[in-house]
Amino acid sequence: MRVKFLAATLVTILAISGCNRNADNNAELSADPSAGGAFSGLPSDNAASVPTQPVFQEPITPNPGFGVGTQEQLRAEIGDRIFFETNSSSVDPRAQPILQSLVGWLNQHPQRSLRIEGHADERGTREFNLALGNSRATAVKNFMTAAGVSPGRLITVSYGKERPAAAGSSPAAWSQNRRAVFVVF
Amino acid sequence: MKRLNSHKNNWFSWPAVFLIMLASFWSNIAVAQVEIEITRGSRQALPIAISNFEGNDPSSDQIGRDIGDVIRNNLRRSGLFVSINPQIYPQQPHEISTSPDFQSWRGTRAHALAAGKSMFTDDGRLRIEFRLWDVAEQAQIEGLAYSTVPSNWRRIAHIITDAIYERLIGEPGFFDSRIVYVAETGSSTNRVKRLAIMDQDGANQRYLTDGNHLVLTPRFSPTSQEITYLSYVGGTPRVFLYNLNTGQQEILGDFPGMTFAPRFSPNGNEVLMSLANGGNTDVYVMDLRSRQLRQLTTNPAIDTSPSYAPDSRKIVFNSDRGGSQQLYVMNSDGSGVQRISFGEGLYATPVWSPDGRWVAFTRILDGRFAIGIMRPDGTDEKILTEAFLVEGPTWSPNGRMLAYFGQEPSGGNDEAGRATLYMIDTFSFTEEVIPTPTDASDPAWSPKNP
Repeated sequence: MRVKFLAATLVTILAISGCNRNADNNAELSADPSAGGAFSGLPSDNAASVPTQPVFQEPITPNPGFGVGTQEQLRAEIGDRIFFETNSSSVDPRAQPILQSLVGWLNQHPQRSLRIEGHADERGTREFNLALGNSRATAVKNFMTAAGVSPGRLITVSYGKERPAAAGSSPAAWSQNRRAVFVVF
Repeated sequence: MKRLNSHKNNWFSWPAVFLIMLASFWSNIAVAQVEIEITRGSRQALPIAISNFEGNDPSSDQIGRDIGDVIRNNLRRSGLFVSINPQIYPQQPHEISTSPDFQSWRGTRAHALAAGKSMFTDDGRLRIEFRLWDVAEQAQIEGLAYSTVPSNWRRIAHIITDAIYERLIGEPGFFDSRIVYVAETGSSTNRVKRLAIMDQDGANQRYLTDGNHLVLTPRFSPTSQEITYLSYVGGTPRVFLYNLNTGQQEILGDFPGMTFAPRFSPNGNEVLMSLANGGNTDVYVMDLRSRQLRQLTTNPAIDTSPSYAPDSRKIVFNSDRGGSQQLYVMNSDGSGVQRISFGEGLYATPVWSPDGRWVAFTRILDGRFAIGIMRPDGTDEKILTEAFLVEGPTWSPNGRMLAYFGQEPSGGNDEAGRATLYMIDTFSFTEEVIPTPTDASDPAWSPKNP
């Protein structure tokens, strides 16, 4: 209790001293002659030439990609992937809000299309995983076309287990690799 | 790779035909000895002496020594032979080459003795003379001469090994054959894969593609020097054809959706494959002359990895239509689908053996992978080898060996787990690494070289 009280007192003192310092700063600023304030101490009829300095203005083009729906924007605003359970290609409830946001994002960027990449972890055979990756990518595509996105804006490709996102042979890495990734083009 | 001890002693349940052939051959020579050998244990390695082939100048003598090395290595890797240590050979190559002193060879335990001569002909070609003797019978049982360009000397060594194997085992060998595979380099998240081809012992490595595009699952034509494989050229995975004689590559049909899991028919005129149309993957067959694609399965589940029986009447394939990945057999028109795998775990990558009696597969159980074989009706399942990840068996042309690949776990620092090719004898379960210059996967055995 005693320690807490002391600490609280200290905080209060620091806060007050901080306020005082701010007040001093304001006073100094007010004493600037060019400000012509009440504390300048100069006669008010002592006219000085105080022209404004011109500021030149020109339009600038947006940074390439800004506002047009880049991969970086997609990743920052929504995320560029969803994950799947082992051997499953169903879009689980946690992934659905992401896909709904993705639909909205595509509506905001009508000039953009998506490549949906389906991936699998290394714990399956190569050919079955190619089929599984295809099923995952198609499940995403079907979800989005059902929500109104034109199928012509969505292409799918399966990489099976060939392009893991996370290195390593651990359940954590595998869960990162069972995924569908959205690539803007 | 770990060999499964529980299966080591299954030797006697193996096809009696092999034992009969072995016994019938040896009955001409040494019946009593063979019976003792067969009851001794699971591995019946036959003692054999392969003398170096004697040259008539330093250059041909070196080739003669190298040929001896290749033959001894081939026979050892088959698991069926044990070479007698050359240190105890009672005769030098030049003393053996026409008629050995059989009395002195009996002391070495060698049942058979091979030797020969190596020379260059006037037109600069290599000529190899080879003889095989039965030591107990004191008789020559094979005598053949070969000639070729000197750089092709290894092929003669393989052809001679096949002659020895065929004469002593009573079935065709597999040594004069090649293996196409996928050579892997780079990190686990950015793997570079190239088609590569080599002799079955790992020699004469050559790359077929440059690594700019992902390539997977090459398969040899059983009748021609052609390979069908999966390539990501152009972005969409599709089945391609590669002609080894011309180097020409061509796409096999341009369909909406991905084509994959190709495999030739036994007559080489068709390619089975999977086509993913929308979310559904089915098995199709393409006629290579008309390029017409015919759909064989229509199930909404995944149907992939099809493989013809050697009589082309049936197809074994992989499907999860029953809720988990299992093996199914159907008639070649797609009718009469029946599940054949009923063991614990998931089953994948079925491949029908060239003699029609077995289906090799990959099994996944409790997070471990295994390579096994079963009868086409699903009975008599045997697991040959088990590991963290082993996959993709391919039969040797004589239907006795399987090649496959194994991959070790990766550490997590983006270093890919080591991928290695192996071959295993489906009788003795003798397992050998096939040496490759880089990591390697997806092996496919050729037919015997033309």
